[in-house]
Amino acid sequence: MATIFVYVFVAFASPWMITHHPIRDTRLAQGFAMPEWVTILPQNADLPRTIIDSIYWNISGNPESIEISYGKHTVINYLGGQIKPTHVWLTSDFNYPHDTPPKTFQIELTWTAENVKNLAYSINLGMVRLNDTVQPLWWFDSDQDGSGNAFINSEGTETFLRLGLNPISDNIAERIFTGKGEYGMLLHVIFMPTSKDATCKTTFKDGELRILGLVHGLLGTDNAGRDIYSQLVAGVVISLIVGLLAAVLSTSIGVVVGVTSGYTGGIVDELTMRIVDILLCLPVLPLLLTLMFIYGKSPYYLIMIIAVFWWLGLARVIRSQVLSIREMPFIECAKAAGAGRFYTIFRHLIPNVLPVAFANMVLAVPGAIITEASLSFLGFGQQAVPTWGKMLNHAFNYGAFTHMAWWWIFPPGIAIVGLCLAFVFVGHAVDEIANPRLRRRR
Amino acid sequence: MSLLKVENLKMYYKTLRGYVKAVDDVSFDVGKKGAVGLAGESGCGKTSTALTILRLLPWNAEIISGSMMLDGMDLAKISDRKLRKEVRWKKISMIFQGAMNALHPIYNVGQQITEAILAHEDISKSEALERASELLELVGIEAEKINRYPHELSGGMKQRVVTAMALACNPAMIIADEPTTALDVIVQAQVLKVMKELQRKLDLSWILITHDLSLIAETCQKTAIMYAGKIVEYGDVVSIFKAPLHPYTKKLITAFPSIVGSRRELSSISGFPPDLLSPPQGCRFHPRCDQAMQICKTEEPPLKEKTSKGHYTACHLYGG
Amino acid sequence: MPKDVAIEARNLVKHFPIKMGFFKTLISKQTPVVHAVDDISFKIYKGEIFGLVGESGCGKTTTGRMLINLTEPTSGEVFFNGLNITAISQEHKMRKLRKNMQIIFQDPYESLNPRMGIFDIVAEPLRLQKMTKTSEELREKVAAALEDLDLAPPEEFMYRFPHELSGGQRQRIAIARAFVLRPEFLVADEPVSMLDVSIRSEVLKLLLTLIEKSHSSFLYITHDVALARHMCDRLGVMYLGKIAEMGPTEDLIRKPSHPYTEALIAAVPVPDPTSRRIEVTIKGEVPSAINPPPGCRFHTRCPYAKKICTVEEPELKEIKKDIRVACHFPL
Repeated sequence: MATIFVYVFVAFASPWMITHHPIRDTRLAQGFAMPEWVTILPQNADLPRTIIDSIYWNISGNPESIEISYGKHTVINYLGGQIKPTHVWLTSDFNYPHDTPPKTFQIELTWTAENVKNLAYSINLGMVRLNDTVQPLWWFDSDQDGSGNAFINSEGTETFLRLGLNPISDNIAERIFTGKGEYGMLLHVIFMPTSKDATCKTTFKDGELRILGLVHGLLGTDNAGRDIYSQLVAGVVISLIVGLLAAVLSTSIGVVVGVTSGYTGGIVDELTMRIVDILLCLPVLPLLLTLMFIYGKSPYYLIMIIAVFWWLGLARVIRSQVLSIREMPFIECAKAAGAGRFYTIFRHLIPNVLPVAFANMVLAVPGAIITEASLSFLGFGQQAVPTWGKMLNHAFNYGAFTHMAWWWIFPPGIAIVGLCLAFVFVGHAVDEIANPRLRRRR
Repeated sequence: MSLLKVENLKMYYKTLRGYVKAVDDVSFDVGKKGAVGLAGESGCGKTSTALTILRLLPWNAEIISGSMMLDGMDLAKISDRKLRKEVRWKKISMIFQGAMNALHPIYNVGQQITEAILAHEDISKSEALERASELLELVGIEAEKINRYPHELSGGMKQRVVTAMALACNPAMIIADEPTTALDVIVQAQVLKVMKELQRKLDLSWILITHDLSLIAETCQKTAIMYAGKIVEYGDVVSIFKAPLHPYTKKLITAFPSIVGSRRELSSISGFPPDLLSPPQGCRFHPRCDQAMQICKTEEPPLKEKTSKGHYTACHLYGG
Repeated sequence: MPKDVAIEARNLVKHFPIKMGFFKTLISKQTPVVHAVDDISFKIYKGEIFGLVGESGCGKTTTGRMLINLTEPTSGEVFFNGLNITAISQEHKMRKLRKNMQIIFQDPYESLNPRMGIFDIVAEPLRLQKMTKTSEELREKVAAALEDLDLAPPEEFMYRFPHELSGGQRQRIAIARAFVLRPEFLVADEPVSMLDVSIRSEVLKLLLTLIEKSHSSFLYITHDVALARHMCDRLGVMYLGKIAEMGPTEDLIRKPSHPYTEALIAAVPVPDPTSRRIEVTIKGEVPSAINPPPGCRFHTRCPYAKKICTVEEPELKEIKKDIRVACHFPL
């Protein structure tokens, strides 16, 4: 029972508990980053966390002929007045506190060049190493107006091509970050005027350096760097909704059918039971898959379909309960006092059938949850909704097993099992409560 | 010349809330060829007493004190092995309450009786089958019925089959717990007739446990009336029925309607049987007794011989 | 003094069809039936207690239920105060009449809905029959009914549930429920057989008091002949779906006219070890109700059976004042 409360609490608190958006926030860390708490272990102690640094450029040196303004954006205005090229060096320092190098880093830089006249400019971005050498990363040359949003991914093919490196064996990040210490980013802008009245105005904004950590969050990341913990928590809500709705729906149907069939008896009963028997023989999962394929993947369809198949088992049980209650003297006494059919059903049969129905309902929840998880695992389910089954599906498809990313594989599995177990225990307890009431005390 | 002598037997059930004093200082004895009736209402401890004799008790039951002497052995103290080998079913066997409904539905009657025989005797299967037919004849069932299944037999026949099973090893005594409760009057009479015949033919002793005093009046020589785990009156049947001493006995006898004699008022006893976890102080019957005196509330009356010889009662009304 | 007839049963028959396997229904021409009740006629007078005794399976319970139209007879009629209630086919017409006839069952544990409070259980008939207008009135009636059965103070019992009470108390609630409508006719099917001996007489005493107070007619069904003798004014002895003998209790008990009655009485144990009675034991068991013996149904076990008994079924005839016997050679 306590476990269920925990789960429900998490479900409700999930909007606050989620640290990152489970789907959209990618690149939170290196893909397949391990959970942060593995740093407790000595061999992992030095693994870096993600560092996100906004870039603030500082000019070094005092070049002529330009005017720099800082603020929201860094604007370099070339004023002209001479023909020889002007170099502008901008740096942004940061500290990398680990000896273990990261595997990837990403730099985002938005730049514009306006009023370009009689001028060729070159923008070069590089990383300053500990030994003060510069590793060039990206450059752009033009003599026209232009703008761009440079996204430099140290593991991206463009970078490899530019630098002429081998994508399989070389890793820029590892080359650059050789140890703890102060590193810097270098922005080298060269203005090459062709006449004395050249102008150019370059603006740099939205600069961000993101060094992807090798560990992240409570439960690490998936292949795209999404936070697994957030996904897990978001999944609670979905699982609970699906589970409970499907269970309640199917129990209601089961009770109605079971009671009607059992009480009416005769041919109605026979017919209903044959239908139930036939439906029971159908393989649920393949049918569900086909239906979902045809009708779409909304989770509400899922709930309805699970409910439609689940009530069968309950109907049988309820019917047999009804059959035995129906013969009990107090029902006849009610009839002797003048009770009609509906009165008997609602006032006498249903209250006595409720304990069984309730116990079954509680036990139906894990069934529904697992069915939903299975379906998601097999690939059916909406993209935007993170469910645990989906997580496993992604894990399976996107290489969690090859990467041995246990933090991606186990949590959703354990979460499913945990929730189901919780409901099963509650269900057993309810069962025990329900039965002694009907047991006699002499 | 008694076969079984039970003396001051105490058996309690251990529960989370304390000891349930189911059998509290019970003494009686069964003679050879004698029939003793243990009478009382539900919950008075008669079935518990029977189970204690054969030590067929659940794990939380404990024989606190007392003895049950049979052929020089104290059944309360002998080892389990000895009990199983020599006593159970060999010297004393039992017909349980509702046994006729507990017959195995899949095996036929012959197989079930044979099973009982073979469990205790080292004879061949065919010999056992022969004996089974003999036993069926003894209880008045035609031997051809040996291959019938329990559901093909009527209630009376099933009860007789169970009796035959109890006779498997020629015991000296049978304990019958409510043998006729679910049976109709005429069938009941037939079963009782069988019991009386067996008593005569085989020198069999009986302990008959029932709530129906009329049965005891018809079949037993001695009777013990139990209330709340204790024996309140004990003696031979005639003097107890003709001159009951204990108030409970008096009320119990007149609570049964009689088919002979004049139509009279049935007596009733107000109140409820006591809780055996914490029975009332003093005489256990005093809250329901209309002749209760001050002493009854504090002191428990001992079972003593009163008026005629062999007639015991535990009541302060008669001194003691 | 001619007495008014409260209930009359005329040629009541009830056959229960037996379910057979699918193939058997194709092969056999007739569906076998259980002859539970076969052509029974008797009258119950106003204010009297009529006992229906017999062994299990003789049809007494089925008869009782047919009398208050809980079970539909296969054929025959039941007249209640002159009105043919078997002819009433629509249940809602029957419903209004139902308040005049009630039933008490044997099992105190199953005759009360375990999920209903005592108040609701006793109030249910009143509510169904719309006998009270205000809730005050309802409460009063329920309290009065409980007090009538010595369940006082009523407030202590009204808000409890059946599983909190003892067997004797539950049976009293069942009786209270039956009497709360002040019915003219009551059927009780073994009302005390599942209770402890010392409690039985209390319950029976209360029952008798209530019957006297309300001048109801009462049908007492039991297999305990001694008890029937104690309670009833007249007795009807049933065997295998037919009435063997019928008449005033004491006459029947002291001098039975039908061999079955004689055997029945002889078989009843008496709480008196010194009484020596004639031991008349009959052999065998009750034959199956699916294929009852031809002629007189008792002939297979009757110690006095003659040739005619195996062929011709005896009619229920009045041989002495008020005593009817179905036998070719009444004792």
